[in-house]
Amino acid sequence: MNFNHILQEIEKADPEVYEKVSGRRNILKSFGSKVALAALPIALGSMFKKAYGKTTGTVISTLQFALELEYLEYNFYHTGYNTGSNTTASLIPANDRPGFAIIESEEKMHINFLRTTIDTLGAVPFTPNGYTGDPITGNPYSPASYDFTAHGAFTTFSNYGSFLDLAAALEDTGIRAYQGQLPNLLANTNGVLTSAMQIASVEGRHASFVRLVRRFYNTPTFQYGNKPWITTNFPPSVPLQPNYMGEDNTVQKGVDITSLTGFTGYITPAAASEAFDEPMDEATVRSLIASFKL
Amino acid sequence: MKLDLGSDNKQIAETGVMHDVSRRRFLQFAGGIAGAGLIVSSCRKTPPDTQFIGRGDTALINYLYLIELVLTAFYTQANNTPYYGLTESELQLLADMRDHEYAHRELLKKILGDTAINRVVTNLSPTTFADRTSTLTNSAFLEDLAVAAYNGVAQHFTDTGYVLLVAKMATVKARHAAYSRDILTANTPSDSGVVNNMGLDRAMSPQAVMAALSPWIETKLDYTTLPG
Repeated sequence: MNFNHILQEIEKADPEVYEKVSGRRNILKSFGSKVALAALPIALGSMFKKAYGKTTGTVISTLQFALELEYLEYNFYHTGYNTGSNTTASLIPANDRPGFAIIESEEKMHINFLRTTIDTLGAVPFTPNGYTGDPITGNPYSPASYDFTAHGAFTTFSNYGSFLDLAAALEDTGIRAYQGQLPNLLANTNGVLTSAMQIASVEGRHASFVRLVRRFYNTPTFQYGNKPWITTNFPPSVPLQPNYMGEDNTVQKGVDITSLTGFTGYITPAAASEAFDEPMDEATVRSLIASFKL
Repeated sequence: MKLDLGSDNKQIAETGVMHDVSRRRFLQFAGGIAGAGLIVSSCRKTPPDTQFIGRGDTALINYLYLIELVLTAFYTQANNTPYYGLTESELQLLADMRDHEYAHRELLKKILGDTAINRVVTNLSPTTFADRTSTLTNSAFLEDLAVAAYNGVAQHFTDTGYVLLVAKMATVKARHAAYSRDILTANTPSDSGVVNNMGLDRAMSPQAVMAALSPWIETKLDYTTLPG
């Protein structure tokens, strides 16, 4: 076995490998003729642990961020679902309640899934400000942690239309947040890359449901521009515009989608933007949810 | 001579500890040493009427391209001969879904260049397009399957630049799936068949997706290089 050749291959695959360990010379020193052939796999294993093992911290903080978003979404739906539900006038009308019940229960499942995954990776799961329950098994409902009116800026729980606007924005932003975090999960430690995609697509279903309800809300027929998908950077309401910045992107992998041929002529900018959801970075997402947190 | 070109892919998939492109590529290399003989020669016998979808990332992109070929054929037909009782809203959104699938298909085709499989004949006979229930049921079936396919394939790419691309498309497939489900049966953006009790949508292996997709494709394909 030519050990130098192995190092060359690693080097080709990852030019920065020596910055992650301690220089090629040191590797060669430690793996020189003194290392018995039988011990080579162990030595290699420890080298790679050194080079790539520290990514676990990034994975955990990424999952914590996801958990924070799931707490926010769950509390939003739980509060909305129970607003006025014991009276004749509930915020969410009877026709839409079963769908919102599914969404709320799936957000709760996401919380439980992320809590368990973070616990398995050896960290204490995130809890929102003012939360008093057990971080792993406690009831995730935490009314003291949120103000979904953003200090009176939105009539979230007193007007169903406002509730739907914010629901759509939270789901769409949730999708964008997950996509923005995928670069941190590429190693797929414990399958987290795949899990994150599996959660994001469930948020995609939620967004579609909420948007379809909005499409028919309070109009005689339907609102032509409101669709289950995001058209350019069109927001549900003007104050939610910042949640949609960048959604009008039409260039994917260096290819302008509007230069491609569709069913009739070139693909339109509207279709090109609808066909792809766009990632959003953590700092932007945090700035967008900040006003709902107490 | 039976050549199993899928073995090196399988080797990587089963390793379960890969961390990024570099690690994956290293393991591919290391696997070759450990398996001593898993790396096979490049000669391959493919019957002349069978199309080979390629290796590595090319095979994965061709696999997604195949799904998009079925979806575009499906929605083109659904729009050309729309079901009875189609509302104005449904007409608009049915055309939208067709156009999104075209965007996905044409992008993948552009990425593949001359490595794209061609002359693929789809089979739409599972659907009665004049019938609303049949059309929407099959639309939901194909979109649910596409979600599972995109979610399941991301982890296999050597070039992780494709991961974000497929994620961007996967959530739009999920929007389609939920929409078709919801207008078929109100208040059902998902059910326990597609979202499990951990709140996770499905992630299926390429081989499992190809098996589910087989009634929709007439062309004989050699896709043994896809991960199982």
